[in-house]
Amino acid sequence: MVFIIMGAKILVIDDEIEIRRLLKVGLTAHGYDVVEAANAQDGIYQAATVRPDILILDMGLPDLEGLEVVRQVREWSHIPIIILSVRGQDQDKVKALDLGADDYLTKPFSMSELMARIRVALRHQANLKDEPVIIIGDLYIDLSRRLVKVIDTEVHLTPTEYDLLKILVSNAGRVVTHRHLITSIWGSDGQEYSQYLRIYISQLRKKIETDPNQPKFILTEPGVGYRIAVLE
Amino acid sequence: MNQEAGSSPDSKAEAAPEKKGGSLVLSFVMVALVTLVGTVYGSYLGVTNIGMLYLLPVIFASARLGAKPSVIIAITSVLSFDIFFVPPVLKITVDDLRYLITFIVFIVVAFTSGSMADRLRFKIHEALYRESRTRALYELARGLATVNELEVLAGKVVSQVSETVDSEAVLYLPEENGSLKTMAASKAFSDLVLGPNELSAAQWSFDHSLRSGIGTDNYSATKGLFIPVKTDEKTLGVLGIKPTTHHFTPEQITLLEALAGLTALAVVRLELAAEAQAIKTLEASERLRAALFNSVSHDMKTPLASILGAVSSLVDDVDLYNDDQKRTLLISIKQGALRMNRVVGNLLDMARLESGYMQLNTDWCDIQDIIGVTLRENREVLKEHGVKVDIPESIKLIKVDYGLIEQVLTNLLHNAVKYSPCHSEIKVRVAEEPGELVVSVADQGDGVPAGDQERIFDKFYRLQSPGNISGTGLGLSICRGIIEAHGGRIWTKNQPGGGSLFSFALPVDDSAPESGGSRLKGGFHNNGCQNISN
Repeated sequence: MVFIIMGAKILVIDDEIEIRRLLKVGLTAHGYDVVEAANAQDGIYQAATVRPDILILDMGLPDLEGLEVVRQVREWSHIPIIILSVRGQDQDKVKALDLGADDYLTKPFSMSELMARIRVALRHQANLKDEPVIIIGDLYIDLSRRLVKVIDTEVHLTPTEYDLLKILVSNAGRVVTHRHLITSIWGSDGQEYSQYLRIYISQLRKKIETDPNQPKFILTEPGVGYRIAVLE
Repeated sequence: MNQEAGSSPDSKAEAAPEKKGGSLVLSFVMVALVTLVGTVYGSYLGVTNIGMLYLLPVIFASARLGAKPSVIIAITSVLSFDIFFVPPVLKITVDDLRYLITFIVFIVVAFTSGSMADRLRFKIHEALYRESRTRALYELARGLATVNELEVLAGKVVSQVSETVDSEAVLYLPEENGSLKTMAASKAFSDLVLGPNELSAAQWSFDHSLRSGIGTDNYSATKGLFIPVKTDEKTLGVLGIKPTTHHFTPEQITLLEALAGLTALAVVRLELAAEAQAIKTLEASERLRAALFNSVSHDMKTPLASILGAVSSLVDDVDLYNDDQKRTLLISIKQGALRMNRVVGNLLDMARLESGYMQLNTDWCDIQDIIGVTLRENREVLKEHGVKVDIPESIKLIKVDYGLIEQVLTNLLHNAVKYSPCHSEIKVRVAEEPGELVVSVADQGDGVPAGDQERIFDKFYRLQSPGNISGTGLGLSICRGIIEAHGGRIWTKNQPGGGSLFSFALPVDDSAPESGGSRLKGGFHNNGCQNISN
């Protein structure tokens, strides 16, 4: 709760009045200030005029694709964007993330999950300065010394494994797309790297997870990427 | 074999001019021979016997050549007999007028036996022709009786027709818009003759239900004859025939008409069969719809009822409940909603599978990862059961649609939970078999009765269980749809110690890398990845 920016302003762009009402009630109850828009045009306009701290965006809007909203907003703003999508919009979701959206939630979602995503996004926004030591549960990572420990035992990672973990933990709580990981590590996004990535993740899990069959740190977001769990 | 058999009497008669010429010459030679023999042995044989000998070539000619030629031979014989043997010898004049009777008998014998032979020969030809025609029709009928596809039917018609009349044949059938297209053609036809003229002649035949092309009043300049394939009610197509050498005789045309008639019957039969199939399919889909309504209305209404019940309690009598009770009501709302979400998800999946809209979004996947995600997503459902996962240390990546395989695992896990006692263990096991990866989910329930192990994957099929377990009967059929779309297979059997074992196998590419295997380090660490050295 430390990271909640009290009174942070949240712009909700969704054409369904039920969802907007639900979000307004839920978010207001959690101390956020909610602004609503029912379509993309109005949403973009409000994003520019109201200057919200965070944007919650539905992918299926009547006038413009949600993707287009991400593209336009990203031209002039870095505010966190959380995508709301329904199952079956996986491709759009990934495109939105690659365009610069920060995170996504699949409808139907639970309010607590949304709150967690909002906190992560705001914290990430506030915390862009480098933090040398990251502790997530039993996992300890000292970026300045390239040191990784699980329950106080040092774990030896190959350079690629380490880079992978570093990208994931510096986005802790947020989804990181396959493409982002692949281009950051191999500098290219050829198809063949897709399988390397799967293998490195598998290796990495074997080294840092207590049960690689049911990972606790590195969570898979099917069809999208990976997310380091934030244990709150 | 049918080339000869199919020829008509006329063509037969025309076909043997050399043979006829030969017989005629032979008859003359025989006349000459008889004359020679008569000259040499005349004194011994006597005039009467020589006259009898002259009957031989006449009979021969009448048997072989028919009435007119045999009369010619008879006259020749009479003249030879008269000139060489009837006194006065070497003169046409006859002293004894009784010989005129002999001459008349000669002519009469020749004419009568010749015409009889002619009639007989014609009868034989006719019988042969009838037999060949019957055989051609019979063979086509037999060939078409077993055919269930239009393409095969067309092929058989074309080959039978082209064989029967020794021609090239083509069968045109109409498309949806009524314009003809070639359904099948014998070899040479398609390359050489199938021009726009022929096609428009065929189209004309189709539109007017009349013959066109060679020997008719319409499109007679085209290279083929076009016969409509029709029943009493409608025209179904056009049979085109290109004669190899000459025009068609009326008998051949009659035969071709008969073949076209047979073809029409066969086409109608196929159309009727297709209609019957469509009706069956419609009936099946009607039944499906009824079953869907039943199971969906039940599966949607139950959670809806619990949601509405809890919500109305909270809205109407909020003061009656303490915090714990409120929480219980809210939890039941949440669970009802989750259950509805699952039902809707399954229905959508089913619809996508049915419509063929389901597109596999395949990528390299680690099955361990898929299992991990599935267990995490379903932890609420699984919390009453111990789940044990058994995966080999290193296993090949598979190229699958992550979300769909997750869906399969989810459905199998839900089934395991539904059909096995609380707190019993569920085992998920992965094994690598030659060429495939086998994933199994084992529970400790009652298992599936042996007779149901195949049908359980059918849509809306549900076990008759006493426990009144809810469900749409869609889950396993979705699993099968998804696994089969991946080129894999899915099955179930009962475990020796009790409980059922659901397994699915997915094909593994031999070149696929192994997750967590040693291949990784040797495999591409050395490929010059830039991060290796730092």
